[in-house]
Amino acid sequence: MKLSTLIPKLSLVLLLGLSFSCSENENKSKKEYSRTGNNVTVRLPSNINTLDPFKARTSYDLMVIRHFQPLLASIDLETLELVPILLESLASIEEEDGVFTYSMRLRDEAKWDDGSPVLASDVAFSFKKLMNPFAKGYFLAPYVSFIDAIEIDSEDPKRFKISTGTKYILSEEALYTVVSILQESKYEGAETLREYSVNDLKAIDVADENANQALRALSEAWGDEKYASSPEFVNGCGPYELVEWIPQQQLTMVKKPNWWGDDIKEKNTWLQANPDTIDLMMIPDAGTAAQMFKNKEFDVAVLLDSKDFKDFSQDELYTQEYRFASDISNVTYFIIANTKTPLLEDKLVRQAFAHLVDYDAVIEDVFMSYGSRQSTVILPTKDYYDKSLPLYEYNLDKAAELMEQAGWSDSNADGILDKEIDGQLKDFELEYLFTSTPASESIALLMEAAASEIGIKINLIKKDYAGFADKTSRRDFELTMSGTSLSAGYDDLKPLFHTDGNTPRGQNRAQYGRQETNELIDSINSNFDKTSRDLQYKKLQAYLHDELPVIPLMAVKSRVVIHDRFKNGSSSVSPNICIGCLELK
Amino acid sequence: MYRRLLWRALLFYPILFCVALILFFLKESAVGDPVLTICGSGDKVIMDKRTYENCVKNNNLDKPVFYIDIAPAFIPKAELRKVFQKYKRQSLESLLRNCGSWELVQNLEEEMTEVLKWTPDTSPDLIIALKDFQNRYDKIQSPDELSFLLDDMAKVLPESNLSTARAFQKEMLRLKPSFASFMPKISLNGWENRFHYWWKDAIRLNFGSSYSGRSVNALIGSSLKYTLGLNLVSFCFAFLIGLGFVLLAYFFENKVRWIHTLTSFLFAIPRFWLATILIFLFANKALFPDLAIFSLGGFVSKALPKGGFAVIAHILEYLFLPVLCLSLGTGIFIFKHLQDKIIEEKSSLYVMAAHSRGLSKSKIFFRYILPNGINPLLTIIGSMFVGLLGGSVIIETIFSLPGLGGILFSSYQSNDWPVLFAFCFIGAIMTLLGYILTDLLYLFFDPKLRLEGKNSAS
Repeated sequence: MKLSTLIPKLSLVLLLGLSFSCSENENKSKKEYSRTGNNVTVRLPSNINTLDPFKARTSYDLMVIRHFQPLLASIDLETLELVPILLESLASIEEEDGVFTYSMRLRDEAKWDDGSPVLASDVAFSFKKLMNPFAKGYFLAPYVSFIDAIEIDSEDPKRFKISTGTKYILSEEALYTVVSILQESKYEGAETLREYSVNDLKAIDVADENANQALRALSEAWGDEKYASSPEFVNGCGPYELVEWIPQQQLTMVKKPNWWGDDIKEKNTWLQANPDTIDLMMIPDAGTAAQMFKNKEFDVAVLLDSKDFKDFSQDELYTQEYRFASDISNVTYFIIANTKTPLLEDKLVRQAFAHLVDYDAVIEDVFMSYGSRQSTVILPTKDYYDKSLPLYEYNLDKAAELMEQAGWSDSNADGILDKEIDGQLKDFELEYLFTSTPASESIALLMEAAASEIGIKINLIKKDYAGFADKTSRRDFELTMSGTSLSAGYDDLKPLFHTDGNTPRGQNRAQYGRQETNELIDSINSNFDKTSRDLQYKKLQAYLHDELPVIPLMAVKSRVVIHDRFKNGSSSVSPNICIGCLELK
Repeated sequence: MYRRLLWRALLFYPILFCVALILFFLKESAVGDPVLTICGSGDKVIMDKRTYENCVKNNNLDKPVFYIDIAPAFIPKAELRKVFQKYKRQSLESLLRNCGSWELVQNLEEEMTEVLKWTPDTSPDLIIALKDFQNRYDKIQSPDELSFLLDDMAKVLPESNLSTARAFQKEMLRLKPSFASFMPKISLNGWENRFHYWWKDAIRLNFGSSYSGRSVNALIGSSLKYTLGLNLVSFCFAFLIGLGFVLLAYFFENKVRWIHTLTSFLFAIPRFWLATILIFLFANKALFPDLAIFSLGGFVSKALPKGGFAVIAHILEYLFLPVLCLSLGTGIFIFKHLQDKIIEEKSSLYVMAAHSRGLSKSKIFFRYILPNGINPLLTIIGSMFVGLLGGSVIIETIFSLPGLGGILFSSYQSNDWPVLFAFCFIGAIMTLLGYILTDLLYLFFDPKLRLEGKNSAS
């Protein structure tokens, strides 16, 4: 072929490619690509970073690890109730002289791969391993720092007691859901830990370089990479075993042929292990994931891009073969008002800002409808969520009225609200900090536009993740948007709204704190009576709704696609899937 | 030339040390509290003081940064290091820079601790107010800010409680460090410093633990092979593309303008966009089932076929598109460089002489023009390879390949310095090795240099 004819043809193909890539009217093939069998291929939007249960930080890491190393008990992914996994039943709790003792017994069926039973000594080892102060990167350790002692029954090696002097509603949940139980005999030098009680570990001074050398050496040795990736150490008493892990690409696990959990008749979601093989494909890029989904290369896809998810869920080509599940998840977004900055000290001003948020635009346009309004940060799915509290509506007139009530008016007719403070006329001009994500930027622009309508000048400050984290830790901002992943169980709002959380180490970025709310939070956290606690939760919500240290935007809805040959599999608990629950129809 | 090669080899270590220094101090000057990044426990728990302090000690954050401290004489770096909380330390240092007296800053600190402490009989409202004041005080940067704080405190506390603090604040305003006191004082820290710990390990290619939990070596090691493999293949492919265009331009001289237009157009397409288009056209089984001959999501699928040719076809199915995206721009870059030199060589006397002797066009090209024209390209091979590595970050991310790209991208997003550090350090090593390799290639391809070397040796 002559070059003079080849070049225009090549150019034409490329141009066609360009125009097709921008085209909305795609010609869709009707060709079927069916998937079969009891093997599941799952798209994860994030890489699996580690398989060391104490170093894992993301919900995806933990989700994978739970298939190898189960917990004592956890929140059922369907009923959201605490259910036993390795335990034969939930703990019995006794209180004596302010000391709470949780008595537990491990299931008789629970066995390691070598056939030996899971024992209380394994549990004690696992807790102590996590609480070792020399261990690096064990970021889960603070969650169990309230434990004072672990006692193994001298007669029954499967029975043990954990005691604490802290009265805390989440103690029980933390005891079950934080520590993966490891096989003590696999860890060389584990007997060293037996010499230490929990209180000994808590009393260690890390700065004393000459003391506890054996423990220090042990931490160094157990920090080895093999404990975070080698099947020998990763595989525990869970239903699956690790076959292959190519970081950033794929992780394959297969069901153990004679897993002890198969013998249990009444199975909660954690004891279900239906698929024979699970292939996890790590595809962080949304475009590639969408393309692969179009090619029907997954059985389950988590967190597809909102627009893609919406398009696919309305396209017969995909709805014939897939289920599209979208439930309220445990992630919530809100705007934080720094209550210690002069402009936002007044709750009327914060309420005005709550009327400046175009909630419909945020949910419909920014999150493609995958969000649900909420009046406070408590998730609407919780039974103590106060439905009677009204939602703040986007209403510029109401916002202007509230600003006027707060004493702000445009006295010098320059288009910006002002007020005389300490003898000086001050314009209402504040900074809105946001991260460089498209959603944060869109919300910031919506806020800026709405605020300018009533004479509030917002200066947008865009920061990368590090800069954003630094500024919010220093409380060096006026308004910002943030989000948090709440517990699927009870809510401890102390880090978010108690004055104890107002340190760089805490998350009370609004710097909010009142005697009433502090007392309420403390009281909720130590109240074991659900009825009265729910009332307290509602009272706290009323305060937060009125005071508005944070303006709730929405509870995020999950976006999970599941192949139609399976039933079950979606959950409202992050990361919104229960792979073991997937059951062939 | 041999001398230059030896010189480069000798400079390898010092240059690497300088790169490490720059990287290390970039990390040290990064915003944010490293303790919160390393040991932060998420939003559900407030990190207690003990956990914070253990994290500082376990990660040597209480040790000096470098072998020496260079600071104005009035700043006692060793004393400041005893303050673990980064923001508090910065606040104290800032106050110190304002007044120049460590003793005064310490006195103020003691006084404020006394004023801000609350007792069981303190009213709940006052406790909250005192906590707020404590938070503000911990971030104070200047005596003026301190003055505002004391004014606010006076609204809830008796003035008599604040008189000493006010006196210290006034003293701070009065005292100004003299110009001479800003003269830097150098104090030695010995080997017990953070840079030394890091350098000692880094030079043995041990980069510690990533904040995500895995060892950096394992993380990079598991991905480096894929990235290197991808880039080596891409580099060879780029060379073929470049050479292909050179041949086209040489043998179709009347179409040179067309070739330059086409190559300029292809060169101008951003890699990530090209990748998106190629995926759309050639990996889209739903829209273009006949065109979609390539696959996505890794290097190979789990079900690798048996038989040599089938395996190659399978690998091509996954790798052709990323390799094409990576190599196209580099290939055209090679073409542009090579083409300039080829044009220059074509008009040389020896080429004209070869023509006049009746040698064929292809013989002249492959025997004379190409070997002479290729030499200048060798100078840029090292930097081209490193450039390719940089480019593969985005391509690996788009094609979801398990290379360094994805790791670098997520490490940047999560501020994972140990990984970023290692990545830059390895990049520096590869650049330096690239230059040494370039020199070796020069020696190999250029007989003049070999002769020069021999003459100087004799």
